[in-house]
Amino acid sequence: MRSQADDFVESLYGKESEPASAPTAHVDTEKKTLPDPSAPLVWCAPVAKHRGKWQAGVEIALIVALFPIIIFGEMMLGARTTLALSVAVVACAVVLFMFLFDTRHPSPRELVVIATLVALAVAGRSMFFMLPQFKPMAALIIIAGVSLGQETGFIVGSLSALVSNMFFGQGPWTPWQMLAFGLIGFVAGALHQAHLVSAKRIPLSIFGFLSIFLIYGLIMNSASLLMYSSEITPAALAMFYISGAPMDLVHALSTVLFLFVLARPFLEKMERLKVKYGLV
Amino acid sequence: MALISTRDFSFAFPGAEPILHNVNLSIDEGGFAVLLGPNGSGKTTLLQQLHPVLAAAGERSGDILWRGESVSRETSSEVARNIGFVMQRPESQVVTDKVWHELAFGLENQGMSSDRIRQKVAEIATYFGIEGWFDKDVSELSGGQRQILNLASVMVLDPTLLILDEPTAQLDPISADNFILMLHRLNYELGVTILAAEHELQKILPNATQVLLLSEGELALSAPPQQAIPEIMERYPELAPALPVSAQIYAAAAHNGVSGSSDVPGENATLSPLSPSAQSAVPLTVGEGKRWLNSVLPAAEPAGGMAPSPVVSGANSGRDMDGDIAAATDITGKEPAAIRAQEVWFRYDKGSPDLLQGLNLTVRKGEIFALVGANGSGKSTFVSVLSGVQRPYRGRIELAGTPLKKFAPGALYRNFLGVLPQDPQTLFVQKTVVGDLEDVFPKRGVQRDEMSSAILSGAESLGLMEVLERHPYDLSGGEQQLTALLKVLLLKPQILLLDEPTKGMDEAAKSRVIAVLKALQKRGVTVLFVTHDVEFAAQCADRAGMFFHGDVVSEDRVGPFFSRNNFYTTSASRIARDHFPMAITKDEVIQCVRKQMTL
Amino acid sequence: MTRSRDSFSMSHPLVNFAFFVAVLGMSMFCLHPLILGISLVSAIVYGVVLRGWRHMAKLLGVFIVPGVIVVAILNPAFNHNGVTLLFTMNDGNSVTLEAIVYGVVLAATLAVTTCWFVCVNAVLTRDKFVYVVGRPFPTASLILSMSFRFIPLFLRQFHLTTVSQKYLGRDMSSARWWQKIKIALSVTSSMFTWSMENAIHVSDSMQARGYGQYHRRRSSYSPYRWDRRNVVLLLCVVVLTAVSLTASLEGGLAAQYDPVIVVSGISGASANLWTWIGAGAFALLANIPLAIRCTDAAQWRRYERSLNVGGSQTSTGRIESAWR
Repeated sequence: MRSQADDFVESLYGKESEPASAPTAHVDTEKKTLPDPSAPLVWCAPVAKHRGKWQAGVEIALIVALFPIIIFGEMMLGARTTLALSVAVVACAVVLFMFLFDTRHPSPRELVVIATLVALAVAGRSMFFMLPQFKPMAALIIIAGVSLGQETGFIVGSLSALVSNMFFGQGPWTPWQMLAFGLIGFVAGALHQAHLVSAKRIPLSIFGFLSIFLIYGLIMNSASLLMYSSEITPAALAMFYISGAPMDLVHALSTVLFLFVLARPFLEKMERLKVKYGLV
Repeated sequence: MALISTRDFSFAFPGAEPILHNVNLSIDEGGFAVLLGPNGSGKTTLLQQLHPVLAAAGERSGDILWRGESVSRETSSEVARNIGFVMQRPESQVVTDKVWHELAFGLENQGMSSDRIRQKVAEIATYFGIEGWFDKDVSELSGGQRQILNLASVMVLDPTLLILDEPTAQLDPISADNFILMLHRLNYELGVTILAAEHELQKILPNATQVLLLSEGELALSAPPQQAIPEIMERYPELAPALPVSAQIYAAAAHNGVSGSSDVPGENATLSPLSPSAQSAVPLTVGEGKRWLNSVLPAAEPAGGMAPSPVVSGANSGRDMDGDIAAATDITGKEPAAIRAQEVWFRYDKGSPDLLQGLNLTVRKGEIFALVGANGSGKSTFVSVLSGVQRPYRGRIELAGTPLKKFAPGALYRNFLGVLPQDPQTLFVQKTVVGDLEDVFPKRGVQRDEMSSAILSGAESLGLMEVLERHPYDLSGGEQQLTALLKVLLLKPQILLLDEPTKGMDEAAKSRVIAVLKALQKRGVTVLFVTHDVEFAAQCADRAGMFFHGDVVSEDRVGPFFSRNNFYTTSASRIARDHFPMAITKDEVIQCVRKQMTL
Repeated sequence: MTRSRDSFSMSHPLVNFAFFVAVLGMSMFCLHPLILGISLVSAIVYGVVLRGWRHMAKLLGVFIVPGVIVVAILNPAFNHNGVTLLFTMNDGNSVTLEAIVYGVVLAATLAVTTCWFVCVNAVLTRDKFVYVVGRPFPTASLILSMSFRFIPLFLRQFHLTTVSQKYLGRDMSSARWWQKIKIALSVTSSMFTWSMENAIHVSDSMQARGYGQYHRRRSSYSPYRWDRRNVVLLLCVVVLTAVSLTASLEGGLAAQYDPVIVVSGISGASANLWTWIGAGAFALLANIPLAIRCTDAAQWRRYERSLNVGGSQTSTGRIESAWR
């Protein structure tokens, strides 16, 4: 007596006596059951969220006001006061975003997706632990900003920085990193919504590269300048920038690499989730 | 009045065929209902639809009634608060990182004060025996502990109705037993109404007050176990293997009686005609089965007692069985060793305990070997050592006569060693099942015909034809396991290592796996599997060994192995060992009983 | 070593936070050498107590000392203010004593903050962060807690997936580099799908337990309690911080390095009463953790001794203790 199992084993290993020959019985069913698995890809713009107009206004005003305040403080007051002032501004920025996020009452699905993205960003960093600055964090944050909007981007960014420092060590850099990564997510979301950065791998990679130098680098180098230099001048900032450039370059290139490779599949999957589970 | 009931309830996912048709179920307060049905019969959908918050969007018709009143938009959140829901995968339900926080999570959602939360958490942790690991991280828990935690963190909300969707499918049998005992306690001591979908009925059915059978989206049966069992045996023979072994033996014996007499077939009253106590209930537990067997068979000879002896009381059947086993030994004795482990020692770190302590094991070519043992005893570690992922610090491992170290890293897994890891999801990388299966073949150099014929015939023999187009993660646990097995088999291994191959599978799936493994065996493929599932091991393997304390102890042919074990053995053997010491699977026992009856 | 039982680590998270904010704030913004010196010594001692001297020595040698040297050297390169000209560099910029001193002081703040953050990382565990963030922002705190849950889960899944792909013949270690990237990509992408699928299950579980179903505000439970001991500790932190701040505002801890060095009690200004009050208060503040640790240890020793005395006095006591 022959069973289906015997047939299967035979189709794998060939007949016992004679060499394997392709059975013809299944040829017609093949076309029916083996379709091309690649489905067309649909990009969606983030769905507009239900939030007050004033919230968005406050966010933009905050971003715009941030740097002038620090620069003003630097000109008018001494270096330590500038540091105190900028720490206060950074803390306010992060706190404000958290507050706005909290009052929005995000859905459980959105919360878990944010937590998942944060965890992936941190787990990703720990996978490449031995390579300094080679981390997929910024790439994931940009993907989060693009697919879930600017606010979520900020939250994912700043919480990723906080959580990652909880595993790799907190330091005076924590609030600055929270702001820097948060802004990367925010700007990615905002530019995508303004149709300035499309969700394709090339524009995203370019944005990723620039964001490390212009957002992350600027904030973190300013932070070191404020903390460890008595003289806050453009020349000193340039000096810090140049000394940090090799590390920033590795960081930027790794971000580009991760975005180039991961942006498409990840964004595609985020879209599938958004459609399937009505996310955002 | 029923606590929850449905009236002509139908449901269809948007743009799909209806998955539930006119379901009319009714569960009384304080009841313990077991929902069964083959994979894909709509069990999960039905359970989720009963929970107002978890109900998926789609086309619904008919009513769901809570305490006799239709659940409306206004009452739905109130009803939801009264229903607790536990899902299949233990690790995917945990929200927070700490055990105490997880217990408090639902109470926090209610906005309860800290003092009140402290009281409730303390109470629930004590009741469920969680104090010992109350401060731990959730990631440090075992699967069984995690599922108990999920149950406790639902129970802390005082639900009236507890719905569970195959809660033990991902657990090892010991944790599964603990879990089901806990459910029984909740029902028995606290009067919580329970509705549980399960495919393994051995343990849960004796506690149940109601059996619901869902078949192709329709509620085919709703009755107490004693009435339901005969009906399932008769109308749904494909589900019969899931019933408790004692009931199956009973039914088979009864059926034998029916065919012997000239009664009208199919009449329920004829199901138990063979014993003096004809009106006795269907035996559900091992103890009941034993009592029933004692009442229908002549008393066992004292020699047969607890000690296993080659003298079999059921003369005919016993000889048959011995003959089979002898034949099997003949085959395996001559063959060369396919897997040979000699004094293998292994530990993860310098400071950690040795998980393998001088392990010796030889599995011959063309043999199916089952390794059974407790959770965390290092069985899975042994698989990863055998498969070359972990390297022993002392000892020697040979596969087909070649030391493991001599294999080139890439060559080992190419058409030679197939390994099925414990978590099937880790094998899936594509968007559809078929895409994942095709992924095994190299992009070039393989004829598409050959590839698709192998996939199709494999899918057919493992019962996966219906799911080929689906996303691997959308399959049930058992189907994922089958898909993973097929994926490994497509690599045409000569030696197959399987880690818990039957986790989450229903009986039908298990018998398909057995058929495939036996067919592979005929072609000289060697199979070593590690399992908790003693019933599967008894049915499938030629030889078995017990993994204990880093070594394989008491390895033997399955017959003597299981008949010698008192605790780690099959239910069938426990029921019938006084009468047929060498019969270990239920089929063997049924065969013996029948022969005895016809004598 | 009784490194695991640190009394300060076991007190209320808000006490911990208040302490570190106060100490770090004072050390970063008040550049008085006395404060920096006290802070550095306290931080190193507490760091050694918490993490062992080996860890601190490694940190000092590998990280702090080079950083301090860089900061101390860099500062005069940009800061050319100051009245005491030492020499003039090739580019015409002058190097002043004030700039060098300022650089050393800034380098000291670097060392101090780094040492304190060793203690921060040991004392402020993840659940303390979840608690402290949870007070003002329950949602963000929940995200933190969930991500702490997910990280080990994902790392484990990643490991298992890599091993499983190896079983399918995709071995990262033996493949060529482009194959490696391909394997890594497929593993990462399947991880992403898996984690998102997991997210959906988790959110179902949240909703099934009433998340977002109630109109009341979500409460946040914690096992920490405000007992008398914690209240006293918090009061100590607040009072001592207030005293040091007052001293600093009263000019007792004034420190200026640019363009002239004016440091009360050292140069340019004489030490007044506020200098000593401020320094004393800060010294007490910075050593709160060590103080309660020592008190508790002494208390325990007294307790143990009292047990022994009681045990040896009567024979029944000895038998009882033998039974225990």
